[in-house]
Amino acid sequence: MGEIYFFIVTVLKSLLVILPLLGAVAYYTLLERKVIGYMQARVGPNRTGARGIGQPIADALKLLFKELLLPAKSNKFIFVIAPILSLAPAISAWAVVPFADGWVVADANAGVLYLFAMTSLGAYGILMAGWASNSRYAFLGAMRSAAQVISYEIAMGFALVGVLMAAGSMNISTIVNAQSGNIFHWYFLPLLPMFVVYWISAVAETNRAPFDVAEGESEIVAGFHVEYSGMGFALFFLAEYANMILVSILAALLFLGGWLSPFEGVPVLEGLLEFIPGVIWLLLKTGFFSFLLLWLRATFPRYRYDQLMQLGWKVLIPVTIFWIFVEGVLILGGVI
Amino acid sequence: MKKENIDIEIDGIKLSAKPGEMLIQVADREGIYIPRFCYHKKLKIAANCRMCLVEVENSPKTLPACATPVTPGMKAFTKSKATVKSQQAVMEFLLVNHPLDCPICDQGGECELQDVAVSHGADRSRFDSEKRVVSDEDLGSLVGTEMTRCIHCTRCIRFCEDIGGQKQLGAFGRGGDMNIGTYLERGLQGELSGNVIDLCPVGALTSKPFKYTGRSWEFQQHLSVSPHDCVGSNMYFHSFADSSDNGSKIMRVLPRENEDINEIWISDRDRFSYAGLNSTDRAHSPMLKQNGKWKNVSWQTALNYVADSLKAIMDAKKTDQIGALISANSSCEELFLFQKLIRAIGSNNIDHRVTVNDFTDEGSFTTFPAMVKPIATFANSKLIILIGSNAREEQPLLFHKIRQAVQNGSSLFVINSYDYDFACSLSGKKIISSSEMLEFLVSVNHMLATNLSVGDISSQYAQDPEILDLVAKLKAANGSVEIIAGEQLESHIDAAKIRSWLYQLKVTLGGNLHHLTKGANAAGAWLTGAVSHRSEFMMPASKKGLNALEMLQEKLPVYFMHGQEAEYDFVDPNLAIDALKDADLVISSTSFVSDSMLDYADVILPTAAFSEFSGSFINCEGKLQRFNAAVMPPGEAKPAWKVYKVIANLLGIEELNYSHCSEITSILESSLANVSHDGFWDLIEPSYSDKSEISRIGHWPSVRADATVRRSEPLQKTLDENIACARINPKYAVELNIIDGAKVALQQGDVQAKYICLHDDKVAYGNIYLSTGLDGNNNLGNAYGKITVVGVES
Amino acid sequence: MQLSQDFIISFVILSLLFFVAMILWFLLAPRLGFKDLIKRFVLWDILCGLKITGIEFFKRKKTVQFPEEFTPKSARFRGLLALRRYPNGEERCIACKLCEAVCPALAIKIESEVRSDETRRTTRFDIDAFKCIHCGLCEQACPVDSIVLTDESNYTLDRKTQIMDKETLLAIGDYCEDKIASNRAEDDDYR
Repeated sequence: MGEIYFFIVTVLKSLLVILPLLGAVAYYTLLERKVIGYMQARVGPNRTGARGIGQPIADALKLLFKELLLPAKSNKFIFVIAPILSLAPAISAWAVVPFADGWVVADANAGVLYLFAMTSLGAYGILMAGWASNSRYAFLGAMRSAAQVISYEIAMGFALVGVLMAAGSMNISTIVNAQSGNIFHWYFLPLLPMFVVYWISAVAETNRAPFDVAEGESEIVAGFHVEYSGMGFALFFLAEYANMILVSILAALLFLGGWLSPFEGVPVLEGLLEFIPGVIWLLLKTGFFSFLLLWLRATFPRYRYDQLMQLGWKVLIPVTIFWIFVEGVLILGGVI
Repeated sequence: MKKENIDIEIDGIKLSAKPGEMLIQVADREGIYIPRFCYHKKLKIAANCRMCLVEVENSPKTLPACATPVTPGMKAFTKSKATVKSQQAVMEFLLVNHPLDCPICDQGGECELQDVAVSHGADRSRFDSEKRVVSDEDLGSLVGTEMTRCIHCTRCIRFCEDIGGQKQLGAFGRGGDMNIGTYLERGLQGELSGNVIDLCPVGALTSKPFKYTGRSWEFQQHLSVSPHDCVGSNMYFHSFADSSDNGSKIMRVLPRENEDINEIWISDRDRFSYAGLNSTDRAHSPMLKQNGKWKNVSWQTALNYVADSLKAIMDAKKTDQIGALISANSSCEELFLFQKLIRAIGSNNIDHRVTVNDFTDEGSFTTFPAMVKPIATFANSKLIILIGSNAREEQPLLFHKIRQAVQNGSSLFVINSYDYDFACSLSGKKIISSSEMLEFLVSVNHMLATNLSVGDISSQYAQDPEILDLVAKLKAANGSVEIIAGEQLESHIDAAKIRSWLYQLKVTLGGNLHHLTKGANAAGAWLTGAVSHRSEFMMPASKKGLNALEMLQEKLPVYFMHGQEAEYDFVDPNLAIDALKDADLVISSTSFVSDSMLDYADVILPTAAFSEFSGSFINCEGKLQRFNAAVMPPGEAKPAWKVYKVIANLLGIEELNYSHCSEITSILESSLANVSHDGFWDLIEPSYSDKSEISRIGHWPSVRADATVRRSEPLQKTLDENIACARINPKYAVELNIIDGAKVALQQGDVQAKYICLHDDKVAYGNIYLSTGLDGNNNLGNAYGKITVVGVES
Repeated sequence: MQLSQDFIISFVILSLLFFVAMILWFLLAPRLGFKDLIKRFVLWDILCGLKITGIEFFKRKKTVQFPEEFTPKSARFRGLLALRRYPNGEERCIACKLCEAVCPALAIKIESEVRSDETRRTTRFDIDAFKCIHCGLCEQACPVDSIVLTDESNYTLDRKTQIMDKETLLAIGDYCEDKIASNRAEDDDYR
């Protein structure tokens, strides 16, 4: 009885996370087009519904009704499961993400490790898609993606190690709570290099501009998903945007104090803004990072592939390793 | 005494010139361009356009370069300030009345006035008064006019007078009222009249069939050679460069300069015959007659049918029952492969001489009936005797040389059965019935030489003033006599005898005996072996075959024809059609299909017409000239040499396996270099025909000579409207009780037809003139045979 | 935390060594000045880039809402091709083929003949709209102002309508004649 109850509750909790997430993903695409449009002196989509509000729905319907093409010489099985393998980790990662104190599907002790595993798994979807397509562009895109993810995973991992060291825990809720105090207790200040490295790696990890060599439409058409159409393409699309939101929310949780109010400890404002629930703070912080992703895309041209590798291996990894040592010293010194 | 060259200077360049030369001639030779309109290197100098004014040192005014003879130490400046000023002034005057209708003018883009106005004219005019308008003149179906555009250079006037030999055009009025027109409103006559289109520096005289259909810059130019007469004029075909859709069509024909043959002229027949190429009669796909019904079939079916039929005959060892007739207008390659195919099958019955009546002296020609002297040298002859020829229409460019000779002071004596208008001054002529021609020649020979073993002076000619005149001339000519036996003599019933006595004349006097043939490539046909008695390159045939006339008289069961229309091309169309209709199998490879052909043929293989295949012709001098394909054949038509190659392959004959027709041309070129074209005749005892019998004379009018020209509408419009009438000398008519315009029933063999009979004192006494190759006359017999008047209606 | 003294010492030495190596690498490898080095460390250029797009984000947008709004068009705008007529209804084209000759894209194909009234006219006037590059040379070459580029830019052509024949072109000319005439009048002084 208890197990069934637990199961039903978990499913409901999952739905409570997944459904808003999918909605967010849909409107995140609209937001992207709008934001980039605004930054390029245009207005973005504005024909479907008031100010383009119906655009994501129209796009979803279009993709839903589009024909699914299977390339003649592709590996059919892998070709079909690749997008699923890409989306599944992107969504399951959200299981350990807390939205406020206790608001979490699975409050796992090794949450960060789990997250790390899940984000890395997404690369397999891309690799399989590229290989199964039996297309030179897709294959190139997949190869680039694999190399990129491996390279930046290390930097990202070290950045997270910094957080773990500081918090002394792998449970995300614990990490957030460890940052309580005022804004200066948030980890982005003592771990500033880690934070920057994390963010750069996160952009690279999600294959977003300026690290979108895996797609590289001006070089290899659309990279790994060049052969996908209709829902197959839509799944990759969903996975990419779910990941984007995930890395944003992780940045907020791990470095910006999660759902903690920035005005903790500030004499007047603290009391004045106490009515705002923690989840709003979290969403605001997440929103800032999500916006930053779009802003970066609107601003920077794509990295050259060798520059990308150089940045990952010769700059980011040494910086993180170095800062781990420094952090170790600081911890020993009792600063953090 | 040869005058020494003098030194002059043009634009500071020191040049040497012959005394008496004009400044513009020296400049042209040295490549210094002086603009001109009225001056033309082939015409007399008029100096009336003033465009070539140049500054000459020590002359107060600029001088016309075309009419200023060079003087020692002369210094001319073609680009000086004074020259340019004169040129701009003249140009401005010329443009006062020239309309600005270049966009619709056919000359636009190749107009001398346009070019010179741009290069030497001022950029604006000071005249703003109304331009004059001149009414057009109808110059016939070939030359279109837009006289408003005329700048009065008078090139056309001078051309008609000096080159064409007839004063037809003139300038009327003076000053601003001057205009060019004909003296008699009969249009432009003459075999070379189309050349005024090229000469006209503006768009006043243009080609009527070409009118408004294309622009000069759209065309691709293809080298070609005239396919209509044995002179082999060089010409260009112009077709649309963009042959993507519907562009594969000859749009016009222009002369190609060749000083040895046609200078810069071509005849009207060459120029306008292209209109016939686009006729609706063109054969588009292979056809088979099955149970009396025609069916379009594939090439494979048709060729298999032909091959199977020929195979059956070969297996039955009846190959000598195949008669092969090929047109003398075919290219050397076609002739060569055709005769090779027929001989390989096993028949020697192959001939191209369908216009010939007398074959008895065929062995006398070493190579072929040829002009033994280059055409270009004729202009310097002393005495030319033209016999049995209307060369002016039949070989216009050859006659142009003869006319030049006459203009240079040589004598021209004509012996004909019809008094053709040669448009040049004859120093003597004998119009004599075709049946008496031999007698006349025998008499002439005997008057010149006393030691001849056969024949004698006929009493009739002993005191004839014309014969005495001719004999005196021949004696005075002192050996340099050019005797030209024409195309009509070739068809004469007694041609062999006449030729032998002409040869005797040549032997007695010295000089040369020339022969002219009908068709563009009779020479090629003789040389490639498309004759019954000889194989290729003058080698004797394995067995003498039947000649063209015998083939038809024998009524063979199988005929293979190339490019022939029996009702038009044969000297005896009636005999031909009878024979073909009686045959079991008639294979006709042809570019044009006529109703009559559908009647007698059993298989029609569509072949490319001239302009659609490349190859070569050999002209009457023995000169081999290559030509290129200009356009694609219509429908499924294929070049004939390929058809013969495939038939040979189907029959298992290996000898015809040439991969390209230029391979064959090269073989011909190497085999035919340095052969002499002289002939040798033994004197033949003359036997005179019965004078009470009437002989028909009736050569092909020049525009009915071959299948292409017969279908060229603009050329057909130039035919005399009375061409289909019988003509008779008035004196003779009185004897036969025929009044002018009477309807007479004429009979040849067992064929009878009615004709309107006109009195014409140009016809020799004793002949009835009735052209062959016309639509109405096809059912009558031999063009040079006996004819009887069986009834007269008044 | 309970860590041995040795470990702490070795840890500090290692980290210092590494720190020195890092500094040396940053100083030597890119050969940068101190100012540039600092700029690199604080991601200065990246921030500059973000600033530009950030400012642009709030600026007035330049989008023209096409079916409702139009951008202003010059009287010389080179749009859809057309053939004009004279006011009496006679086609202007005289088949001079100058446009065909001048067309750099070889888009024009003309065939001509003598019409029954002895004038020079086209029997075929085809323009391949896919080949046309709207350069306007045909319009300049035309001696009778027959072929013109109208200012009509809102049209679509497909493979069936790609070849515009004489009737189509004349119909377009008839439809746009007023606009063509007014545009020409406006531009008249400069022609």
